[in-house]
Amino acid sequence: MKKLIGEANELVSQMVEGMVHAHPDVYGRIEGVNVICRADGAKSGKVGLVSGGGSGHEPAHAGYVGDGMLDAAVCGEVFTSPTPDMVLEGIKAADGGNGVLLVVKNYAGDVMNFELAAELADAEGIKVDHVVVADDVAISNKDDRRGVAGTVFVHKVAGAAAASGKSLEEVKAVAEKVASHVRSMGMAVEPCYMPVSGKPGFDLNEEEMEIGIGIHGERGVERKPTTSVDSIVDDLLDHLKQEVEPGEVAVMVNGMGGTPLSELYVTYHFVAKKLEDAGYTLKRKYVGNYMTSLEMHGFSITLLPLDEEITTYLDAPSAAHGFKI
Amino acid sequence: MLTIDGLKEALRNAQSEIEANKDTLTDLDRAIGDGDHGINMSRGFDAVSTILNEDYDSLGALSKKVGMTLMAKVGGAAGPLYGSAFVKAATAFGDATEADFSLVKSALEEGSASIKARGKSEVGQKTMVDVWEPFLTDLSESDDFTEKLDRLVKDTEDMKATKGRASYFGESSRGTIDPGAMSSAIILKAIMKEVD
Repeated sequence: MKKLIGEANELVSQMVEGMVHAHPDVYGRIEGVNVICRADGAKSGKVGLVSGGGSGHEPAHAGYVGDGMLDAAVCGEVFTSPTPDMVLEGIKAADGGNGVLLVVKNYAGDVMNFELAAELADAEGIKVDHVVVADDVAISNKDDRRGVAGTVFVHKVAGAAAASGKSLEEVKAVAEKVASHVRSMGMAVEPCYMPVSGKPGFDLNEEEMEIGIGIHGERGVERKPTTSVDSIVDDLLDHLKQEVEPGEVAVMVNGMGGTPLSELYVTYHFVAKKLEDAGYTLKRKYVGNYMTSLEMHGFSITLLPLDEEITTYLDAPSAAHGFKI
Repeated sequence: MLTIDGLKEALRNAQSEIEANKDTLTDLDRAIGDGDHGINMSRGFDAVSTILNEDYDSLGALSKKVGMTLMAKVGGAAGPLYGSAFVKAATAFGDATEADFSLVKSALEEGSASIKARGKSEVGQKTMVDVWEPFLTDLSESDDFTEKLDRLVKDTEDMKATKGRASYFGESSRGTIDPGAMSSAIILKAIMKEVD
């Protein structure tokens, strides 16, 4: 697989360098560590918000650093959870003296490394709590569900709540509310290729697709013959509709990194029509690349039931490049 | 007896075995995970090999340094799991400069317990626990360590994964050896080889 990269092992640090150099008004970097923080540093008195995980999901998570969203993003190796010492640096960079909330995607590695970091921060006297996002309905057992694109809504809502001066407990409560209601499901027609090994996450032939993929290039839960996007959308919505009641929702059609925007809008066109026909009101709509898997060709659909509080926070200003409002 | 130099030698051997099996570990992980286990373990043990050039006053000090290095360099789930195993083993080794079979066994039991606790996993879930725990159960000095470890790794092939990323694949996780089980066996074999 051809890649536009330098030394594969340097991919993440060179990406971080590039981001900070290109957007010095928004991003700062902790010297020597792949952690992106806010250019203006931690805000005194504000609850800090930190997320992160493996790289390869851009704009997640560094793209969500900025006024109104995250205070720091910890960038692990591609698809590999960052280590506890890195996360600790992120926590310190985000700490404004009123505690720090970690937004963690439900992957064994992420949960373990962030929990270890929280223990280290606690030992240094920083109050830390965390929220685990597990929005992927492709996995039937709820405890095992992965955290995928719905995590972006948690960043946005918790970020806005923190920016409005809420306490750690209050920010956590609203983050939990979003995390417990948001649901996503994804699919791919082409895999992504690991930069170091050059190998695809899974092998697919011309006529096959993977349904129920995660965001780390891993196979889906089901392999099927490819069909029209119209019926693929039906397939994913069938799962999502079982868990999200008709009503006011925010919908996200998220590209996996290698999907043309034209195809995302075609996908959205079917998603919108089918949801409206089923009695859903699409109060907020997001179409684009929010949580990607390198160059994977596919998409995910995320539904978030809305109430007044969540809607207000979704609409609040954000300076983050990946979610500018 | 396992000496400080012996443990260093074991870790150097583990590093070269991991390097030699890097692609196999990655391919197993591609089949039932996300395809980075070989890459991550290789990065971690490269870092371990550089700290082996330093001097240590005890097996505990060396084991702790190895654990911290793995925790900081491997990433993913394997980093905290192997990292905490070596850190916990260090508490059993303590100030000892050499360890007999029974002390090595206790240190590895501490490591095994720590992997189970950190990973919240049990035997039978197709993880590295399926090598650590049964290997140490009833382990005696006269056992054929290599044979026992190879068999335990092979046993994970038919298991259905219910923990870790492989669990997302449900039934189709059967038929592939667990990559964490394989890397665990590499490390344990290297250590046991130096206990004589």
